Amino acid sequence: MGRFFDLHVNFDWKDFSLEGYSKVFYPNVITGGNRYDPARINIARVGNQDKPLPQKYDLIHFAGFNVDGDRLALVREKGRAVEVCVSNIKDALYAGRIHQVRFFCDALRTYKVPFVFTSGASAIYEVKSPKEIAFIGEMLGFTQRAVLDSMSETASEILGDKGWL
Amino acid sequence: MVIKKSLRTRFRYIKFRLLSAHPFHGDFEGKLRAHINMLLGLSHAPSIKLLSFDSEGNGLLRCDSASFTEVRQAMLFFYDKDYRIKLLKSSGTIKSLFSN
Repeated sequence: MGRFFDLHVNFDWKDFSLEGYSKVFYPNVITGGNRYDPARINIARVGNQDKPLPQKYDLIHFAGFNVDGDRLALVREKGRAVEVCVSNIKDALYAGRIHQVRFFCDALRTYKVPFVFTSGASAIYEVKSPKEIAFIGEMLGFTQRAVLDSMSETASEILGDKGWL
Repeated sequence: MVIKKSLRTRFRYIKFRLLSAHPFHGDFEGKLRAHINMLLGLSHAPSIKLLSFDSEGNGLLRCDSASFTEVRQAMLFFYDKDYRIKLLKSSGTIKSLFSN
């Protein structure tokens, strides 16, 4: 069994091993500036079309799933990864906008953009195990293997040496 | 015509556990059914039956094998800040759910 990382949770809870994670991260969130802390993972939260991409970040989080293909191509050119957040998928599902998520995931596959599934949880009961996230990814057209790899191999590449600080 | 064994199996059984901050009061089956219907739409509401659900939150759900994937997805999104369903195991027979 490989190592699994959740790169984005918003609360402090120590024992994530019960959910199957090796480590979780509480990231810095960049909102357009160039703040960069090398010890932590940095997630750039940007709008769909308005703002340019920040200079330094590890993951990019789009504020909504209605994203241009050109934006995704740009992310691909920069060699960065896109965050697909399960809590946002839940919100979209409840709001009847699951089709936007599917189009977004189709675009990720079309443009071959690296992606990472994260829970984005703000409470214990919002944390999903890697297996459960793989089921959710399957609903969006990914294979379970691809989703598990995103939380294992892609996340390890992003973390580099940070993974076991 | 050769029919796969999985297609011949009519029902699918899902073993789950409800993790909750407080004891879950009220009609759990009704709440789960309403949730699944809301997410999947009433036009193709799957038939589900809660076979058991104890006070510790352990439960067993039966659904049609044709709608198993949709029901599983709906159960994955049955969560809030105070409770959630953790999927444990699923199978075509009850016996295999409780072996080892």
